[in-house]
Amino acid sequence: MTAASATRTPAIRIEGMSKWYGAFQVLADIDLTVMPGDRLVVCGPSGSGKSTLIRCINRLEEHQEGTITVDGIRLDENTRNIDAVRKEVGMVFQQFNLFPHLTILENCTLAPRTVRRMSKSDAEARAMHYLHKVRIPEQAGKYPGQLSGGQQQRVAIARSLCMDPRIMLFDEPTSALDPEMIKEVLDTMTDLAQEGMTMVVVTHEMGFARRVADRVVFMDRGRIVEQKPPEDFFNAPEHPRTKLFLDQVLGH
Amino acid sequence: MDFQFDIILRYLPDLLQGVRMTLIAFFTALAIGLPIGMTLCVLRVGKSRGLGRAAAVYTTVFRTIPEVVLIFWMFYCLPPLVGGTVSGLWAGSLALGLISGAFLAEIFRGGVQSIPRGQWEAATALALPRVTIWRRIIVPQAARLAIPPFINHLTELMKGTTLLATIGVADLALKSYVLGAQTFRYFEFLTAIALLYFIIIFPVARFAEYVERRLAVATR
Ligand SMILES: Nc1ncnc2c1ncn2[C@@H]1O[C@H](COP(=O)(O)OP(=O)(O)O)[C@@H](O)[C@H]1O
Ligand SMILES: [Mg+2]
Repeated sequence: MTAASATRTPAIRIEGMSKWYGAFQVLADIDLTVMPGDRLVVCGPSGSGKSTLIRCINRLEEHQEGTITVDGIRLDENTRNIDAVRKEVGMVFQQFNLFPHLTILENCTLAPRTVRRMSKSDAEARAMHYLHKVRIPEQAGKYPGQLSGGQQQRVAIARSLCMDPRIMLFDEPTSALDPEMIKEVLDTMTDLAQEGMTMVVVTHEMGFARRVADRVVFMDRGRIVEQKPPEDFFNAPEHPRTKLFLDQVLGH
Repeated sequence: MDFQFDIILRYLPDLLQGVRMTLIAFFTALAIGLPIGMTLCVLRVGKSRGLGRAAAVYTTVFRTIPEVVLIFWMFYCLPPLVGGTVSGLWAGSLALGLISGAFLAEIFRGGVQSIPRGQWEAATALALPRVTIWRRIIVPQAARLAIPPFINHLTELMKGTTLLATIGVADLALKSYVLGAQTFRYFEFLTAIALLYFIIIFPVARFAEYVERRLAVATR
């Protein structure tokens, strides 16, 4: 981290965080700082705790030890804090999770209207703005079931952006997609990164990590094992488990 | 056997009085059962273990007690307990409503639990308030699945109101039976009552099919 970053409020600061499911420790002593504008890629073997980690950031999961601070707001039992954090943090899921009974436009306007109390016309104008941005404005009147997987995921991104989040979390956004649709979603995410969005992306798309990330975090068995800029991560991994993982993913 | 149609016509006002009683019992029971069913459903899906357990106990108990037993209990045991009088209509409707609540809770819960967890998570991540999540995301989707069994339950509840005759509520069933006894024309009156119930319940069942079709079109 640069000297300047020390004086700014981190977008996300996690210190000594641990989480258990019953007796099973899923996250162990996590330390992680994400500064505004950072683009973090999180990778690691299946079951290593990647999803759980990012789901703790918007409190879809509770942690038991340590602290998580998002944009200066401490995540604890205080529901007002939790709400405040969720308003600033967008999330994109592997399975899109669009609301199937609402049109694309309604999917995008529901939260701005109820949470941000925007007028219908303002919310719709903003939704159309972001639907343009993800390049599917012509689908606004359709239902999610009428769209391809790639289109649905881009709508999911637009839906999150309509809340004007300061941070975007992505949990394997392309893992459920057919190969020919992966690129359109990654391109959308790349655009977002270029506009300076703070992003935490769980993905196995190592090409994306190389091009877009400024830091790659490798997790294994609930721990952060290694954390490096992409060049170092791919060219000079230190930990044996990282090397093994990279061999498998990159097919060396 | 000669079917004397005119005797039914002569006593039609009496029969319609019975229809009125049946409908009052039905809607009273429903007015009691619906809020109970919704509340129990929300409690069982909600985060609190204790409340969820309590709701489950209610559901089990009231789905197990035979309707007639509870109707008798409300009619004969409740008045001394509360130290007053309870009319047959109220006692019977209350019993049916309490039982209906337990069945409705299970019907609603079935609908709610068939909704993928991702729907809750996406809505929660968007910072939507709990009430909005229920109202705009969960209920509309759950309704599509719950409406057929819900309407089916309504027809069962309608049929269940005939049991109020056992505590002397002059509903359609009892009215017909009494009129049959008075005039010795059981055949006419019992046929008339069967027809009248059919006329009441058939539109409800048709309405269910209509709603089901509408919902199928609305999504996809
Ligand atoms: N709700 C849960 N209850 C119990 N164990 C869970 C739960 N969710 C995840 N786990 C376990 O926690 C571990 C980490 O899961 P996850 O964060 O989904 O890993 P990843 O996203 O890296 O594949 C896995 O072993 C998984 O089985
Ligand atoms: Mg995962």
